[in-house]
This record gives sequence, C-alpha cells and structure tokens, in this order.
Amino acid sequence: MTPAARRILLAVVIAIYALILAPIVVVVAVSFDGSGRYAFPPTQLSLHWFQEFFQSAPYFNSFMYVSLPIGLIVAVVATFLGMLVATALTRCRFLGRQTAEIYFTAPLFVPDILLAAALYLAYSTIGMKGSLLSIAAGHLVIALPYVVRTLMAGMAGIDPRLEEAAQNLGASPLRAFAHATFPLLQSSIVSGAAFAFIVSFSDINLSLFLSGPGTTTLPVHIFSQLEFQDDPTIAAASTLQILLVGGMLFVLQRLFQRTPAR
Amino acid sequence: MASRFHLPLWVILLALPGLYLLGLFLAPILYMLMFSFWQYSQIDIVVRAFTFENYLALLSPYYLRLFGRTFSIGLTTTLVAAFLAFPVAYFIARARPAIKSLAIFLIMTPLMISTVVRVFGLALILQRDGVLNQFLALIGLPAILLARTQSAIVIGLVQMLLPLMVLPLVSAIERISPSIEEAARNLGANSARVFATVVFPLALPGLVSGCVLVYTLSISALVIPALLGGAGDRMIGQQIYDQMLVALNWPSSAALSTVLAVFTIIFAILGLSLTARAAKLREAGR
Repeated sequence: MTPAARRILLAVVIAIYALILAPIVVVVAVSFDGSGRYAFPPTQLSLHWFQEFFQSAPYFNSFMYVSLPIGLIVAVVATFLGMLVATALTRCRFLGRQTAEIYFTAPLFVPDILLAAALYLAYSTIGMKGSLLSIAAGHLVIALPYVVRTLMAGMAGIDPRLEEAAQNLGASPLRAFAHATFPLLQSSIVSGAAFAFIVSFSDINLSLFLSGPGTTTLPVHIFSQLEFQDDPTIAAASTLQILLVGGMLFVLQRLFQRTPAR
Repeated sequence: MASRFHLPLWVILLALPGLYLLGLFLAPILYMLMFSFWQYSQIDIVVRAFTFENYLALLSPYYLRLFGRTFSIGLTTTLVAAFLAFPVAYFIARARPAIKSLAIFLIMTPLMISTVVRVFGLALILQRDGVLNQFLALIGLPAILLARTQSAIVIGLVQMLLPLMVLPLVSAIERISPSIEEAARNLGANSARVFATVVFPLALPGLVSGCVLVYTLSISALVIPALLGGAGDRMIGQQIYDQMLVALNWPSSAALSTVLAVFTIIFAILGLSLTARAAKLREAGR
C-alpha cells in the first residue's frame, strides 16, 4: 500500500472507532458532571450522581441484590457445566462429536428475544416467573456457549499426554486431571467465568421478559428510567456498568491476551 | 464378581449440560411453537384447541407493514455495516500484533457492555440539544433532528452490530496472503484496483457470514427501536414484547416469534449456501 493510501485508511479507521466508542465516552463524561443537566463536555466535576445511585434504593438494589448475585450464580454454574462439555468435546472421541459441539453452542445463533419469549411462556405455564433463579437459569443458556468456546480453545493448547503420563505414574483419572491439566487451564477458566458473568450482567433481552417485581436487573431498571430521561443517575449507573465490564475485560486482556470468542 | 457395565466418559460428561439445554432451550422453543397453534381467549389467555388463526392474523396490512419495515431497516443496517467494516477489518488484519490486539480489544469491549447503556449514550448524542447538534452549531451548521426516527434506529443498530461484521472479515482477510496483493501491485494495479480485484472477492465468505449475523440480529432488535425509534417505526421485536407482556395475547406473540425464527433460519441457510459458493469461487480463482 502506498503511504498516502495507508494514511487515508488510518484516518477512516480512527473515525469509525470514534463513532463506536463515542456513546460510551459521552455516558462516562456526563455521569461526572455536576450541573444537573446532561452536559457534554462536563462543566464541573462532581461525584454527586454516584452518591445518588448508592442512595437510591431501586438502583442500588437492582445492582447489589439482583444483577450481581445472578451474574455470580451464572458464572459459577456455567463454568462447571462448560468444563464438562469442553472436556468431552476435546478429550473424548465419539460419533456425533461435531453435532454435540453445534448443540452446545446453538444458543449463540438464536436471537435472544426468541429464547426470552419461549422461556416467558414456559415459566408462566409452570408458575416460576420472576425469581432470581429463573432469570439466572435463562442467562445460563446464553452464557454457556461463551464458556465452552473459551475452555475448548484453552484445552486445545494442552497436550493430553501430560494427563496420560500422570495416569501411567499411578494417578487416578480425576487426580491426573486435577494435577496435570487443571493448573494449565486456570487462565481459561477465569476468562470463561468472567465472560459468563459479563453476559449475564449486561443482558437486557432475557431480563426484560423474565424480570418480575423486586427482581429488576440493573439494565432493566436503566431501561425503565430512560423513558423519563432527565435524571443523570442513569448516567452514573451506566458508568458503573461500563467500568465493571470494561475493567474485567481489560484485566483479562492484560493477563491472558483474551477476548470473548463468539 | 459381577461384570459392571461402564458408560463411556463422554456420556457422563455431557449428560448434565445436555439435559440442561434440552429443558431450558430446546423444550421451551418447541413449547412456544405449540403455543402458536392454540386459540387466544380474552379470559384465559389461551385455550388449548388447534387453530391457524394466529398465523392468519399476521397477514393483515398492519403486520405486513411491520414485516416490511423491519426487513428494510435490517437491510440498510447490514449494507452500512458492511461498508464501514471493510476498512476496519483490513486495518486489523494487516496491523502489527500489538496494535492488532488493542484494536480487537477496543472493538470487542463495546459489544460486551449492556445494550441499554450504549443506546443511552447514543440518545444523548442524537437528541435535539445533544452532543451532535452542539457540535454542528459550533461549526456553524444547522441542527439535524435524528432522535425518534428510523435513521436513529439504523445508526444504533450499526453502532451495536459493527463488531460482528468486522470479526469474520478480519479472519477472512488474514487468510489472504499479502504477497498476492503485492503481486497485483507490481503488475501495475493501484490500491483501489487491488481492493476490487483481489481483497474483496477473496474476503467474500467472511463478508457473507458477517452480513447474515448482522441481518438476523437486527431484524430481532427490541431495545434499540424501543429507545431510538418513533411511534411509527415499530419493529417485530417490539411487537413480540408488547403482545406477550402488555396485551397478554400469548398465542399471537408465539406465532410472531415463530415467523421471526423461520425467517432467521431461512436467512442463515441462504447465507451458508452463499458462503459455500463464495468459498468455491475463491478456490476456483486460485
């Protein structure tokens, strides 16, 4: 490529990145503004809206007692189930292995609102609507493929002969796994769990259908507040969302060079 | 000693997660399909008697306009996203490793932040006295009113889904050896010609899979049209939500969801067969 063409390409790419990142930058900037109206760029720095966030029961509860516990449950269970699936898909040979891989990553290819509508009907019929666990159970479905992909990528890089060697030296299969494979897999496990948490913590489509009174997740609460649109507490809540998710991804990227595999 | 029958390891490993997805993924979707053939009743919401009514009702002018509007917004979104994704994907595919991982991080991170949060930011930019119009006033241009229009929906969808167009394109372009481009250039082609005759045709499989992803996700959008569109810009996702949770016409919502699922499957299959053809063309071109 000629230097001129390269410079044009760079300018275009920077402009597109600016477009993608602009909404996030604006939200963060507005949340630190003290003027009380959505002012960009902020005229005076203030943490007032964060204070409001922590003092407002609906905001704080949806974050602390709904979104956070659901995300943690999903992270733990999805990592456990994902571990079973990834082990079978990378370490076992069987007929239909490829079909199984499609089956366990299928939720990635189904639009969220179809799953949301289906779960809404199923939950309504069996009468388990609107509890923390029923939302977590839904999130688990969409988080599992991320964990499976991340762990499969991690396991593909580990030589299965390590485990065989451990077994030849007298270790039981479980012990061989725990001492030979598991330590090498730690970074994938941490990443997988983090992605599962983030998928749950950021989800809006499933939560919109499945939340009930007292179980509104933070994104659902932000969504309902957006209709009024003149309370900058929304910006503070959004900034916390961005900082938590962005921070986790940044740490994962720094530690393990990992981005979510879709 | 009695001989014991051993289940294969993979059965033991996959049993629990497999049953989980069966119960909370496959079964609910099949149940919704069944629901769409049951009768609506104002008193009991649903009467379990077979009917085609829910589907026939989707042929009314209101629903046909809804489908037309949704599909056309999806198409515009896909075209704009494809147009913007190419330079970004090309840049990432050919960047040095350190810059590449930063560029991928910056494009993946917004994807993982909640849609509501990003749409809120976009609304702050597009509203009447928002960031965009402040900026336009600063450089002496008239304000544009984008809030609550179809254009705002398209901007929001492109914003949201662009990374999903970029990633498959990056892996397609990475597979094109830079030496092919160099050969074309040595034979006298300029950058535009190299792009049109070498990069674009060889990146087609990636482009098609990106388009399928972006199109199917934009026609099922709910939050973006709800927050950025006007009253006349409703899309299928909003109708599914309102019929289900507001109007409580579950059979109708189930039928509409089923139709959306069928369209999604059709577009995915169409995309897959196009990708296969593009890959074959690519092989033939070698």
